[in-house]
Amino acid sequence: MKFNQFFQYSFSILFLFGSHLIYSQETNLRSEFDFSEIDFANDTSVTLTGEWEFYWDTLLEPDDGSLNYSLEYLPEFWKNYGVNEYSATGYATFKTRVKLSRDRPILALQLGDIHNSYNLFVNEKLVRRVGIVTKSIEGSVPKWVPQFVVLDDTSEILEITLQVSNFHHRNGGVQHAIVLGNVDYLLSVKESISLADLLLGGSCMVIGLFFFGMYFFYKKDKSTIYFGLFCFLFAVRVLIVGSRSLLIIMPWLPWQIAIRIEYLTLFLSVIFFLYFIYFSFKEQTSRLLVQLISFIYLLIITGTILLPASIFTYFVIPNNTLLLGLITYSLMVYLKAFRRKVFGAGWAILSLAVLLVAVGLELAEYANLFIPSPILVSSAFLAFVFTMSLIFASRFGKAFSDVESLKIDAEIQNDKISEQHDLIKDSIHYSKRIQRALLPSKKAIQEKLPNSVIYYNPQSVVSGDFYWYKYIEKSNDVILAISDCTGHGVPGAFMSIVGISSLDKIVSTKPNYRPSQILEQLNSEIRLKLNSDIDEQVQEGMDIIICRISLDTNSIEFSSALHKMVLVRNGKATIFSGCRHFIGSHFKKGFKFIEHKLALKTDDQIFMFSDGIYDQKGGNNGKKLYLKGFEEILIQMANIPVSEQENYLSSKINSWQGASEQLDDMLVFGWKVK
Amino acid sequence: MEVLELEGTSYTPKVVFDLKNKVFEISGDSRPEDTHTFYQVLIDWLSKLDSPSVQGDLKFKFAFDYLNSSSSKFIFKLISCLKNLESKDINFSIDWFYDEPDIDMKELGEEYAELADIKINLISVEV
Repeated sequence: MKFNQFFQYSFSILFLFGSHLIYSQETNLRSEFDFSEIDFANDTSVTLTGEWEFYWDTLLEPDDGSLNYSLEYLPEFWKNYGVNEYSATGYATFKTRVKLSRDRPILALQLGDIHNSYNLFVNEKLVRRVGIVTKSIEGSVPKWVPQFVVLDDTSEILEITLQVSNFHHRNGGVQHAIVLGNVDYLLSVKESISLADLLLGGSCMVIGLFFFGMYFFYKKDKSTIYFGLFCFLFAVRVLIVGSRSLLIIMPWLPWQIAIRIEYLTLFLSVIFFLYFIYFSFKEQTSRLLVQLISFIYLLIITGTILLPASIFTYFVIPNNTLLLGLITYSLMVYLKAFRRKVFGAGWAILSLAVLLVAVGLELAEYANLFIPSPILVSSAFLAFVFTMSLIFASRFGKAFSDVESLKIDAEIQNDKISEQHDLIKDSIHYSKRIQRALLPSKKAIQEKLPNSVIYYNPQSVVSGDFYWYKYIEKSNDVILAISDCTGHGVPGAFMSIVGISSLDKIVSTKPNYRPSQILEQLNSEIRLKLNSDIDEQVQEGMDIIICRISLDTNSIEFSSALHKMVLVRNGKATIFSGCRHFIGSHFKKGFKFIEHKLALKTDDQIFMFSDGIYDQKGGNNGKKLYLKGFEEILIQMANIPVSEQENYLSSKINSWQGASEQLDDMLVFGWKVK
Repeated sequence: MEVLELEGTSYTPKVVFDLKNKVFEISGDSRPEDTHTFYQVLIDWLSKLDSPSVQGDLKFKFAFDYLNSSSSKFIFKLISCLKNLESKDINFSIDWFYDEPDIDMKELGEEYAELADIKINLISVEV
C-alpha cells in the first residue's frame, strides 16, 4: 500500500481491476456472495468485492426489511454511484449475504478504511463499532483503524450489515475491499503486512536520524538535513497510513489530528524531497521553480492545518499532479547532473529506477497480475531510500579518499621539505664555522684583557651580532667593537662579514684613528660596499660601539652609533649613549660622532652589548626586560668574579626568558679593570 | 582608496590604514623575516595619499611592542613618507606610544623626530 500512501485516492480507480468478481453472485437483485464451495483451508481468503445492497439515508438494523435500495459496487465511495446522486457526506447501510459451507474452519473478516465511522453486524449481532455512527454531524466521531473480526457464528448464511456515516471527509463509503478468510491465514497476512510496515518505517526512521546526526556535525551541507527529514516523515507516514500501526499504538489520537498528520507528512515529505534535490544538485536545479513549488506547498500546508478535513483532503489532487511533475523534473535534474559528471548523480538515477520497480510491484498487485509479498514491496521502497542515501555515501566516500590522497601528498611534500630543510641546515651549520673563524678568539682577547667576559648567543645558528678586536702594538692600545647588524640569521651574518672586513681594512691602514674617526670611515665604507648612495632602497647597516683602551693608562675612548656603554663603579651604573645614527645611513653634512673619554679605576667594569638581551620578552607577563632590568643584572654581575660572570648572565637570561622564544641575537662584552 | 588591513602575528605588527574611517595604526611586534617586502606595502600605500582624496586631519598611531633593528630602519622610511605629506598640504599628526620603562623605544621616537625633522608626540603607557 506504500504507493497508495503517496497517491492516495487518485488511483482508487485501480481497485476496479482488482475486484474478485468471480465470487460475487447476484440473485434476484439481492446481494449475495456464494463461497459454499470454498473450503477455506490454510491459506485461503476472498474479498467481498462486488455488488452490495446500498440503502442511502438509512441506518438499517439487521432485521429491518426495506426494499428501498440499489445494488452498488464495493469497495467504492458512494459519491461515485449513479450520476451525482449521493453527496459525500451523509449516512447509509450496506448489506450482503455470504453463503458458506457448514464444514469450515474458523473464519475472520478484515476491514480497512471505511469513511468515517461504522457499525458492523453479522446476522443480528453487532460485532464491531468503529467511531460513532450518526445521522448528522453532531455526535459523529470518525475513526480509521483496521479491524479484524473473528466470526464465531457458524450459520450457513451470514448476513453482513454495515452502517456507515461520513460528515468529515470528502469521500464517504468503503475504501478498501473487505477480506474474508481463514483466521490463521488472515492473522499471518496481517502480521506480515505490519512487519513489513514496521521494517520499512523503522529502517527509514533510522536512516533519517542518522542524517540528522550528519547534519549536526556538518552543517555546511544542507541536503543531509532535508534527506533526513524526508526519511523521517516517510517513516511516520508508513506507520500511520499502511496498517495504521501508529494508530494501534496510540488509539487515543483523535481522528482530526491523525488525518492531519497523514496529510502533512505527505505534503512536507514532498517539500523535503524537493529541497533535497535542490541542495544536492544546486547547479542543475532551478531556484525559481523551487521557490514557486515551495510557495504552493506553503499554502497547501497552511490549509491543511487550518481548514476542515472535508476541504483539505482535496489537496491530494494538486499534490499528486505536482508530485508526478516533481519526479519527472528530478529525473531531468539527475540526468543533467550525470552528464556534468556531478558525483552521486548515478545513484540518484538508480534511486528513481528502484522507485519505479517498487511502484511497479504495487501496480502489479492492483492490476491483479500477481500478489507480491508485503515484505518484497517494503524492501523495494527501502531500497529506494537506501539508493538515495548512497548519493551521500558516495560523496562522503570520495571526500574521505580525497583527504587521504591529500594526506599522502602532504607527506611527500613534508619529506621533500624536511630534506631541503636538512640541506639548508647543514649549509648554515657550515657557515657557522666560517663565521666563528672570522670572530677574534677569546684567548687572544684574554691575553691583553685578562679580566674580560664575552657572552655570545645567536638567535639562530649564525648571528648578526659580532665583536671585533685588534691590539695595536705601537701604542699598546686595544681597539674593540661590539656590533649589531640589521637582520639576524643568514642576512645578519652577511652584514657582519661586511662589518668585520671593513673594520680590518680601516684599522690596518689607519691604526691611530680615534673611535669616532673609525665610525665615520666605517659608514662611508659600508655605504660604498652596499651602493647605498645609488640605491635608496638599501636600509642595511649596523649599530656599533667602538672603543680604544689604553693598556698603559687604563683610559678608554669610545664612540657609538646607537649602542650604549654601561660603567659599573662601586655598585652604581652609569649609562653612556651613542649618537642616534646607524652605520649605513646618510649623514647630514657636518655631522660628527660624539666621543667619550673615561679614566677607569681599579674594580671598575665596563659593559658593551647589543639590544638582544634587554629587548628579550619574558618574565611573568611576557614584557621586555628593558634597559632597567638589564642594568640591575649588570650591577650584580660586576660584583662577582669575572670567571663566573658568563654563567651568571646565562642563567639570568634563561630564567627571564623561560619558555618564550629568543627574539634576537645576544652579545655582551665586559671588562673589569685590575 | 582601499583599506589596508593586516592581522598581527608574532613576527609582524597589526596594521590598519583606513582613509574612510580615518584610522591609521601600526601596533605589536615587528621582526619580519623579510622586512623590506613587508614595509614596502605600507610605504606604497602612504605614497598614494593625495590631497584631493584626503579631507580633514589624519592621525597616525604607532604602538610597537618589539622592533628588530631592520624594522626600525624601515619605520624611519615610513615616517619620511609622512614627512612628504606636508608638501601635499595634508594635515596630520603622529603619536608614538611606548611602554613607560622602554627607554629605547622612547629614544627611537625622539630619534625619528630629529632625523626626519617632524613633530612626533611621545606618549608613555604605564605597564
